[in-house]
Amino acid sequence: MDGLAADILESTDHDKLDESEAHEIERARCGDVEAFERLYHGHAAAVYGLCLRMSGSHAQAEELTQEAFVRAWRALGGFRGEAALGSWLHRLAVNVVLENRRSARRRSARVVSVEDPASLGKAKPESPDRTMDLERAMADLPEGARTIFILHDVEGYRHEEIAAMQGLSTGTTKAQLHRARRLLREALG
Amino acid sequence: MKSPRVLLAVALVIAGALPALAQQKIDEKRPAAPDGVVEINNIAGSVKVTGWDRAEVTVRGTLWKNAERLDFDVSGKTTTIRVVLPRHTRQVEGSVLDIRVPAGSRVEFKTVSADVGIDSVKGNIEGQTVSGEIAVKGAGSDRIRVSSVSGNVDVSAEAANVRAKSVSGTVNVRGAHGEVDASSVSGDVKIEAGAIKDGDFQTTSGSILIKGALDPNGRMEATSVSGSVKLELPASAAAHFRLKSFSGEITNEFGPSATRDSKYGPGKSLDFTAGGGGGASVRVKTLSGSIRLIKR
Amino acid sequence: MKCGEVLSRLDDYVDDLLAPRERQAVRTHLQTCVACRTREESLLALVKQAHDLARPVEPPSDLWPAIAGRLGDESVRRPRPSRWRRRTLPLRWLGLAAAAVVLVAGTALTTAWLVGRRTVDIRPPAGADMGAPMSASLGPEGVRLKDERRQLLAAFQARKGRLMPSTVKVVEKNLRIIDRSLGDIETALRKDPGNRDLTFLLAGTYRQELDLLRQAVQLSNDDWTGGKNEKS
Repeated sequence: MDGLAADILESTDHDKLDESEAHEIERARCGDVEAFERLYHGHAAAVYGLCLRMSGSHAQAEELTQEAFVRAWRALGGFRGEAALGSWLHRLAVNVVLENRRSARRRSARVVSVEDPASLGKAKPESPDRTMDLERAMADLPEGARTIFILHDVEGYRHEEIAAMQGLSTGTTKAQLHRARRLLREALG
Repeated sequence: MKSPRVLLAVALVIAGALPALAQQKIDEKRPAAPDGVVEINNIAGSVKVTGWDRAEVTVRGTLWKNAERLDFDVSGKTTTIRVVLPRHTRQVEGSVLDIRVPAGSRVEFKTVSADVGIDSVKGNIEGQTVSGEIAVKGAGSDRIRVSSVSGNVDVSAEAANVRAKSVSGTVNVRGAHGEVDASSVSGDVKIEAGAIKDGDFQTTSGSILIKGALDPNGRMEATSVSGSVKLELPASAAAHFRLKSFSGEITNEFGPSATRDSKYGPGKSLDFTAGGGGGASVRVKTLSGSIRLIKR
Repeated sequence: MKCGEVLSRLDDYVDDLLAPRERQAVRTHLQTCVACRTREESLLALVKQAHDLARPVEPPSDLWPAIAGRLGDESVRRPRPSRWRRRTLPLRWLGLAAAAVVLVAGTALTTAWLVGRRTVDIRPPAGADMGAPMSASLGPEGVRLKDERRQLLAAFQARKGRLMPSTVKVVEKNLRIIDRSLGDIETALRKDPGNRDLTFLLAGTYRQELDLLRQAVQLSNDDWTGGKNEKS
């Protein structure tokens, strides 16, 4: 199935999902832990994938994912449905990762390759080898550059959003992105 | 803190100077078995229990004017004293109960904010409060089991088996000579080790202080996650110490310093014998709290 | 526009961030400059590849129990039932309340395990590895323990309205303290998996939490305390 058709299908599924999910969200907001559990299961993989990409280790990704959902539970009261829950959770998770990083004293671990067929949720990349190279190259980036690259090119956030999340200016984020891409291009040949 | 209040209440009762509206005086007595059970329920105010040598339970004090009544019943060997409130009470105010019980009685109490003081009772003592303070002065009870949520718990009794718990209040245990189980989640735990044979002290974020001589046959274990643990012992203390902390500092005035457990992990431990040994055994474990062994 | 100027604007061009006039200038240059066009293509490929990386990844172990355990420390949440929910909510809570009564009475098995403080022998299973879930560190008893904790937390949540606000505050504050400590111990266990002292600390701290939850649930079941009417 080509990319466009897959995207369309995905969005259709999301419509159906959104309807029943709205009910779960409502229940969870009122304190229904089991409803929140269902929401968790629906979004755990997305959040975990993000945390794994940004932290580079499964151990950290687990901690960060937990922290993200705990925070989501607390913040759910303020979620008005103005965005899809997935996007809201995603951004919340990014903030958790960034905050954690500020207080983390650990050195970043090697990026764990996510090129495990069993763990792939959706579309497979066209050329596995190149993806692994890219992830390895990403792991070698300096942290600021890697963060920006992941947030902008992988996760799709805009410069304004990234800048806001990190307390930087868009001038800085753009410069870091250019540098990240240049370094990656040089590393990948 | 309690005593002045109770004294005042008693004084008022004696003086009889209260207008009829304000409070209801209590002055009742019932005969009771010398080794029976006395159950006490009072939501708010104070509860004072003193053991004496008469086969009689007396209750003096003042009942909150809006309380429905004081239940004071004896059934077989069980005496029940309960402040009964009307069904739909909006604001509860305290009733002051000054209770005398046969010294050999077993006492069970339950209050919410009423402070509880128990003195000279030889039977088992068991009870709980939510925010009321608990002070037990003992006379050789076999078993004392008291707990509070936010109140402080103070047990000064030569009991063989003490369990004193609070969630956020402090827990003090003095004079116990058998098994002691003292814990608080965020409050401090202070133990006078004296004659303790088997001690288990635990906090999550509160500190633990153990002081005094150690029983030569004593075994003690103190655990805290982030609270500090301090042992203040006489210079002649004789015991085998095993102190372990994952990330806290360990300081020792009795001899050797703590060493790292491994090159790779942060943990430190100290395993040594002081004063020629003897049977005492002291184990301390913390995650990040410091452990200090100090000479008194 | 010269190559140098184009190359320095290429990222923004690919991201569609250039002002219309600059965008046009770059596009014009790219139409005739092979070198710059090659660079543009490789940049596009990189960005496309990066975008493909954004895939969900199933967590290797079930993180829900650990999350559920930490939900108990959230601040008092005022229920905002929407119209259709009013019918279903009370029934659910009634079920939980009944369960709570059963729970407080029937935790003999786990209590027996927990009460024997020094007799507790918690053997980490062979091969407990980095990032393994906490229940693995505590063995099968740990699983039961975490289940009970989850149920008690739910019961407490459901019934805490019956307690005085001041009591709820103390209980929740201390649940937060315990949960933070549990998190710290678990973090330490990740640095030093299989560490028996840490496992011991973990079990002891879980025990304190269960004690606290049981106490809170029991208080909320009490009839005679008069509930929220107390003037503390």
